[in-house]
Amino acid sequence: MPYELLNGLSPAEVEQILELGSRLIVPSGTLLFRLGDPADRLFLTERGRIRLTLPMHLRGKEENVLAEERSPGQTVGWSALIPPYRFTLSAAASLDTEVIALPQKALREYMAARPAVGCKIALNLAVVIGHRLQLFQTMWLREMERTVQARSA
Amino acid sequence: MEMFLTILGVSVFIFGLGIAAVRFQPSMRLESSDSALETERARVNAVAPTLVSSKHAAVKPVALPRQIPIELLLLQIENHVRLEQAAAESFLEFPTHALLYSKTTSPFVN
Repeated sequence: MPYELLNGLSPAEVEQILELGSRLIVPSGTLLFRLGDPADRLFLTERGRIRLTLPMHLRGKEENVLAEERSPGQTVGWSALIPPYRFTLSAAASLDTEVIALPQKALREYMAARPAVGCKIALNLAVVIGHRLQLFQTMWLREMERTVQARSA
Repeated sequence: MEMFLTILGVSVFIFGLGIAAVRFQPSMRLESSDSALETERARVNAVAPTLVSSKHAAVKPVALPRQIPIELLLLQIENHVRLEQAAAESFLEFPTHALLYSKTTSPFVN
């Protein structure tokens, strides 16, 4: 399984990192974490699908609205490596899902002990975060364009 | 006898006066409350003539939007998010002005 966060690492390094974590089975519909929870673990999706949601008030009731979906190989919960180490979305499995949960402390210690590997992981993380930033920037711009068109119509 | 007739006449007069007073009182009260209401209405209309309906202003019927079930609304939002992400992904893979502002088929905004 090629993990986006571990791209460019040797098989031995990938194995060492995976050994830091534990495999979790997340049944469909089960919550992995809530928005605002301490981000003490980072997840690599092994199989299934994770829904990342944001709360929205709809008709006086709070509903979790889809923001993103994560597929096998993708990273969930990178807030574990970024201050203030709190999840900014809620995550739940939309199918029976398997993830590898990497404890924040163990991962940071591993990265500090092996700076070359840590640098590769940090660059991979920048790619993940950068892609999300570009994606949401584009979506925001499209939404703004529609708003402007509607207002000037 | 004359005394008796006088007393009877005075009694009937007082009784009649009492009944008249009782009957007259509610109409007096209604009249005074009507005038108080008119005064209040005039005062309110002077302050906010367009916000508070006067007795001549017709209340427009409000057309309430037909509410769709919340489950359907959530599905529409999800569908919209997926379509928008797909459009954004296309733009990021091959950034052009046309792809950035490509029209969506999402019923959520159409």
